[in-house]
Amino acid sequence: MLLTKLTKNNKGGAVIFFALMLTLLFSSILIIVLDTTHVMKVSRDLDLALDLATKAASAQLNWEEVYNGNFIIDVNNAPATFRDIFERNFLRRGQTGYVLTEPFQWQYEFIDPTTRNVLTIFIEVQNDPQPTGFILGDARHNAIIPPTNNPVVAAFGVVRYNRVGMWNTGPVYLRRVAVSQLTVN
Amino acid sequence: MANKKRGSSTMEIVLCIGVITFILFFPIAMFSLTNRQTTMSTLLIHGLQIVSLEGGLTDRAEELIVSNANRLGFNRRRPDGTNELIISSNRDARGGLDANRVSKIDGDALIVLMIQYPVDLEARFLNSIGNLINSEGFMEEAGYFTVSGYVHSEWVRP
Repeated sequence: MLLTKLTKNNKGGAVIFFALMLTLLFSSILIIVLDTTHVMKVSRDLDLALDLATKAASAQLNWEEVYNGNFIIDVNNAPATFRDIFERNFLRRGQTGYVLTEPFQWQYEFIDPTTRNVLTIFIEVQNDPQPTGFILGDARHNAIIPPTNNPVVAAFGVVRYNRVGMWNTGPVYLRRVAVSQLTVN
Repeated sequence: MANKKRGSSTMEIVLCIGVITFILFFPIAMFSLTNRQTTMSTLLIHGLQIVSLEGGLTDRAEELIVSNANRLGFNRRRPDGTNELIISSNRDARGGLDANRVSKIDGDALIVLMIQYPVDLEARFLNSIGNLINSEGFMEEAGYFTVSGYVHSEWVRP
């Protein structure tokens, strides 16, 4: 009824109607595109931070065992190093809004109070060979780590990203895995 | 002007052309900008691996980073012929300053690498629009695409 009334009106009603519709379309496109590019940015930052953090953690040699001829990863030092490098790369440079809420050695959680996005990190150090690989994560979010012959640090990160916009389709889960083996040189 | 009907049609056409142009080209421009930032991140990952192996930003590391950057399309030149890429690090060992390199067994083996590349006006405009809804912009410093990262040294002093 309103549409017919407006479009048959010669006093400029149709222009106002179109302007309103186009404004709505304009803002929707703007939000969708910017939100999608932000999802890509978070995903890329998580990927980079996990890669560098696992690499640094796997370089933490247990020097006491080296004297016995065993080259293994220091299970006390590795998680701390992982967290240090991860926080520097992901939180301090790229995603500055996250706050630590669940501080554990092998699993911790960050939350961004503004967007309510949640980042969960699982980390595991395996000094024994894993010929069949292993599963990292919890019942809901997990990743299969491939078989390894050397000591290895594996990390799995999940971001529950809440999309903004008029057509909110629920959260998006961004999952990334990084694995690094001990290198001795 | 006297004809109201024709006037409103012209207005509709003008509005439609504006919005359709925006709808068609804004996503393309935004994704192009994101792609450029992703390429910078790729360059950063390669750069971090190189400086980690070298124990700092050496001449050889810089040469490899610049060569990677040129291959990825970041090859704008200054009037004097040098590359416009700015590379900086807390462990700057360029010019043979080997004392600035850090070994993996040193106490503070952390290396920071920052890569910057000048942006054009189009990217500045898109970045300003992006900042309207995201607190995180595409650039950390005005006028430059900036990427930076932290890595531990893997270099061992001979």
